[in-house]
Amino acid sequence: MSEADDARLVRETLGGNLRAFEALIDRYQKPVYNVAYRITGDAADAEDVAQSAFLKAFERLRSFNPKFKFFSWLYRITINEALNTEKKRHHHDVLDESAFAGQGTEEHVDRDGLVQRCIQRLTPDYRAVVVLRHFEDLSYEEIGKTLGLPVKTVKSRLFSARTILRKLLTQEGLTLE
Amino acid sequence: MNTKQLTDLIQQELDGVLSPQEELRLREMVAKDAAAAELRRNLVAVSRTLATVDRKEVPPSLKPSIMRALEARASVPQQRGASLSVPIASFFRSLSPRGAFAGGLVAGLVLALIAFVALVPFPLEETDLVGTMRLTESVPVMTPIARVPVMAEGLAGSLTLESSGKFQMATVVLSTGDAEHSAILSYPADEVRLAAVRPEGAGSVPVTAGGGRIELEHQSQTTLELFFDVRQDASAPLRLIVRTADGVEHETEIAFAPPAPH
Repeated sequence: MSEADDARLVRETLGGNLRAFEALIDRYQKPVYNVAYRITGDAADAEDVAQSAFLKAFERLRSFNPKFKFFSWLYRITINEALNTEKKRHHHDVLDESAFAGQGTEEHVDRDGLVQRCIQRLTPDYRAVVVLRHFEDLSYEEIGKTLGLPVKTVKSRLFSARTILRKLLTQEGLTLE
Repeated sequence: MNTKQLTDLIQQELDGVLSPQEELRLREMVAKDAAAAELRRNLVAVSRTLATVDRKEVPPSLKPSIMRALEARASVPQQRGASLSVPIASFFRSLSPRGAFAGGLVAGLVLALIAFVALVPFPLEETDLVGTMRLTESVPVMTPIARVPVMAEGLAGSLTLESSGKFQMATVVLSTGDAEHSAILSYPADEVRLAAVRPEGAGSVPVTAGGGRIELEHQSQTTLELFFDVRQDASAPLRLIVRTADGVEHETEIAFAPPAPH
């Protein structure tokens, strides 16, 4: 997916072509949904957040500056939506120890759940950088643009987040590879 | 051991942006220092663990639900890009001559409110403001219609409201010579932040809708009062543009019935 294509689709959407926005949804629904899921830790919340993020992006499309990357802008909306949703529902306060139980019997499913639980325990600032770096493979610069942070801050947050995650994962009894 | 340099190198290694020289330097550091080696091992382990986590599949219902919502919006033109929730045009058209009396009453109340607002300190913090309050230069607020200078152009003024405050409601008052008509506009509370009013292009663009003025009352719900003096023979709608904090312009048209001849 190229930035030029995104810019063209944005222009066409602004010109009234709803199908152009549909193409943007096709491109970005998976990363947007996954970012939302990793931030909220809940599939239903993630779907709501993803829907809301796309609708807000559509409403605010006129304010999108084509000098920037569309996906950075979209991720930013998604992360804000996800953090707001999570805040409202106080997931981080009421995380039930059984929340990840019964998600499956296969080893990797349990492991996925435990990793997600550790991600949930990170502060929102740390969670956002971890999700964008490790799940969306964004560069430091792209993370910085998405979150409105200097690269230096991205690096330091990422280092702290990884260090904390290591402790949390060990506490959860995960054998790190 | 230079911790900063070490952590930078480890992170660069994890993120695949390590040059051969830097790789060599990192190897030397971890070979000489057990703590450095352990730090590297731990961070690499975290990174690998995260890499094993599956990406979630998107629920099949996601895209159709977004498209349905978008198509529903597209089919209601006045809601496009606008958060204003009151059908203003139909409100004003529905006013009967008796409405003039009620309108006059409203105008009186509004004037009282202006006087009240003028006497109390400006309620918003300076930092809330993104601009200054300005009036159009030629038409005084609340001037009776007969004394509004007649402009050559049609009524196509626009008012841009810069955003920043914490507004949830707006009362628009239109003066049509024989009465003041008002309507309340409501906005999503967390989206509209407004603190200043600027009649766009006054002086160069024909702001023939007359004067615009803002009065603010900061209570549990802040109320924004907009006053427009309008031409008696105007038939074109007035465009109201609200720019919210996210930079989006919400536009709506305010149409109204011309006042009955005296």
